[in-house]
Amino acid sequence: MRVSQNQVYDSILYYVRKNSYAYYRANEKVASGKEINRPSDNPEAAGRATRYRTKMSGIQQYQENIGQGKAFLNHADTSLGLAYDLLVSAKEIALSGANANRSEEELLGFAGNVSAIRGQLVTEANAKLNGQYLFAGYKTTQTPYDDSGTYSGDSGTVEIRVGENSKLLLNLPGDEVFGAAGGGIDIFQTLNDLETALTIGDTNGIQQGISSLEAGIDQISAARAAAGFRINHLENVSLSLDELNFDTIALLSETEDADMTEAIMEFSRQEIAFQAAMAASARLLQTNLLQFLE
Amino acid sequence: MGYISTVMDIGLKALGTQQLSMNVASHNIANANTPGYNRQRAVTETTEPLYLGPQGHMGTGVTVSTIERLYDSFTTNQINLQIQSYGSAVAKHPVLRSAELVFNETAGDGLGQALSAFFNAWESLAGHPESSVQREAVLQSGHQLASAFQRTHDQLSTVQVEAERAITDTVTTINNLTAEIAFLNGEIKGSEGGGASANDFRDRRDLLVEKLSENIGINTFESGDGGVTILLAGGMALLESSTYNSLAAAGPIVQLIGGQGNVSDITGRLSAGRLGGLVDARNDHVQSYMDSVNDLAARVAVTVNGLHHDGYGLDGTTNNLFFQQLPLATGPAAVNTGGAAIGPGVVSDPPALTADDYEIRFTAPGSYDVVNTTTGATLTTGAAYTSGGAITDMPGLTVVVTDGASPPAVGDVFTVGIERDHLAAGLVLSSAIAASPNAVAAAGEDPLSVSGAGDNRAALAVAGLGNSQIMSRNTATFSEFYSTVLATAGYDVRNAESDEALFEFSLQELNSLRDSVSGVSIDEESLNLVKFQNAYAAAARLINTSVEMLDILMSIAR
Repeated sequence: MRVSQNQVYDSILYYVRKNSYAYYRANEKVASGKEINRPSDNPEAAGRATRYRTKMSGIQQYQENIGQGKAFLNHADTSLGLAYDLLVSAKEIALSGANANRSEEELLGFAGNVSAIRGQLVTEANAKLNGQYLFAGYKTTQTPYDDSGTYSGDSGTVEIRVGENSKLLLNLPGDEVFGAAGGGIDIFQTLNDLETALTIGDTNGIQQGISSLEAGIDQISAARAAAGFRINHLENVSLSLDELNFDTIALLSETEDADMTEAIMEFSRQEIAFQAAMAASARLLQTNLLQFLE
Repeated sequence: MGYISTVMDIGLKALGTQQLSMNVASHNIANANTPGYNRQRAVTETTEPLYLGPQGHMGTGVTVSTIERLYDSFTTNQINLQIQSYGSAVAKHPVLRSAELVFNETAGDGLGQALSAFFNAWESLAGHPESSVQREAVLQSGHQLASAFQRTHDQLSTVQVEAERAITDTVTTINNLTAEIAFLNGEIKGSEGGGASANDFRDRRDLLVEKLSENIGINTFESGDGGVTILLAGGMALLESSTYNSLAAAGPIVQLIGGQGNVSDITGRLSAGRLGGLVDARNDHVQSYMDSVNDLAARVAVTVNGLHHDGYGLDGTTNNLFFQQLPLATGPAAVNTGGAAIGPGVVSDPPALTADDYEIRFTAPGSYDVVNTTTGATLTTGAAYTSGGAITDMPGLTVVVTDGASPPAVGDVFTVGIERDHLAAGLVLSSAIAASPNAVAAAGEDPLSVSGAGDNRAALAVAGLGNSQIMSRNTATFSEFYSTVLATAGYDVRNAESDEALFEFSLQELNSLRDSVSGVSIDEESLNLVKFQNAYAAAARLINTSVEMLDILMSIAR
């Protein structure tokens, strides 16, 4: 094949340009540390990376939700624990009051104690975290219980999202925990009744109060168990989200980040190829017949 | 029987011939780097021999019969074809590259991030529906999402405007090339009419045809008189002999202006060359990203608005939209023959509204069908038409069709849907929301009279949209859809890039093949110069010898 001047120059230009582009791209990969610097570098992986990023942002949000939910439930659990203790002491008072040998003064004293316990229980039922009343249903900004123990909240149930498709019931409305909603016992009413029974020395009423208090204690225990179960559940979800997040970070890195060893090897390879092309071209350009004709 | 004068004559002819050959070699060397130059060669032949009788013929020397152009028409045609694809890829590549940058999420503040942040803000609001801080955060993320949509729209639109500029420039280039080729056609016909070959004119014209091929898809053929005819794809003539048509660009539309001034739109027929590549990138690829972004904006706004409309703000307000109501677009189809007109349409029920498109088709006199053209579902068949009556068959929408000069004819179609063009650019929060964070609807029921401030049902529902499959006919979430658009933009660039590399390589090969025949080799020409110089010296020697022979002859006579 005949070789003309243009062929020589064009092919040198073509290959030097091609090599220098490959050299440049290899350098970009090493310098940025990324396998994908723009979607076209690997469109499928770039799309995947975007989905991983959305997923991670979602996980972060769910973890935040879970953190807040746990704070809410832990706080509720503490209040319920105190409420439990209060009811247990109310029951002890009632048992003492049920003893037939009690004097009127003693019974009046017991009635005063029960009244104080009710006051403390109102404080616990009005427990609050970050301006949110815990046992108020949806009416989280107004005090759910007044001094007499009358409920002004509602039975609204609040859910939080803890995963793409999973929601968790968070709150314990006051009417379920302390009230008669759902076939339970109205604890404040029970304490009121007990106080009255103690004041007037109504033995039947006191007995009635004891059994109601036992049911109330069970009711609070059940609420605590529910809170505990939810906290436990949130912790489990949080752990699996952590795991998922870890996996997603790894996947994103695998998708997006350059394998440095490979990138540097590639860079060196391109460098050598580029230098070889330049050296060979320089030699080729120096050689022509005119040098040998005198 | 020989003559001294014959020797001298042969010498003279040889001198001239070698000199001419040297001229041609010099011309070759001089034009070694001239683009489009085909090397030339002086073709020598023996002159008419002299009949000597029984001894046979005696040679009478040499002459140049023609100056030949070493031209490979097969490869040249191949190059002209290949360069059309190459031009298309080369022009497409930078347009798609700049469109791709719009979707670069690796930098960290793209539309994808804004979408996630928006739904996360709703999620946080669901955790604290009574908090004014979270409400403010929802508003801010709403503003940010709207401006991310706007930015994406504006950047894509800038890419399109730049592409239109490039289209205009390319059209100018094409017109100049066409005019010049027409001029050269005249020159070549003029000079070759006398039988001579117009090598340099032809080289120049070939180069221009090649350049024209790079710019636009064409078919060329040469007529008997040496003129070249150029047809566009679809057989429309761009140039015949010395008469030519010109192109005109109006935004993304390319027109061919014929001799009688008749204008035809050829945009859809351009597929090759720079012009084809630019038009394709501008009108197909970038426009499809734009359509996707508008669709995304429409469906985010419609679904968020629907749930928000049903929810209640902390201040007890309800039926508020989160994003300002998207404008509707209604209109008669171009084929309509009846005189009826369609009104602008109103959104009657935001929660029921979808971002789908609809058609009201008049299938019989006085009755119509309603079809959802996005899903293909027929919503109503054979409903009775009354002029001026509200048509409520499309969810959330009411439109009115009214008789004009005549009632709607059978076959008439009216289109109804959300105005998609520039939708992403116009997305803003509704004034009710922007003015009052407490109007952001987090509650499922009135928190003042029915539920309470802790009611988070609406917020939870809006936040849930982020994970719902709403896009692509309920098969993809917003962010999945977005990642698909992003990947498409990436694939488009990659295809253009690999096309460019492929065509560049084959063009390089073809050019090499052509240069192998037509290109100048300095080594070869140097060698030729030596050869012709030696021959020239020998011819001069011949003349010298014949003069000496004459001298000898003369001295005998003395």
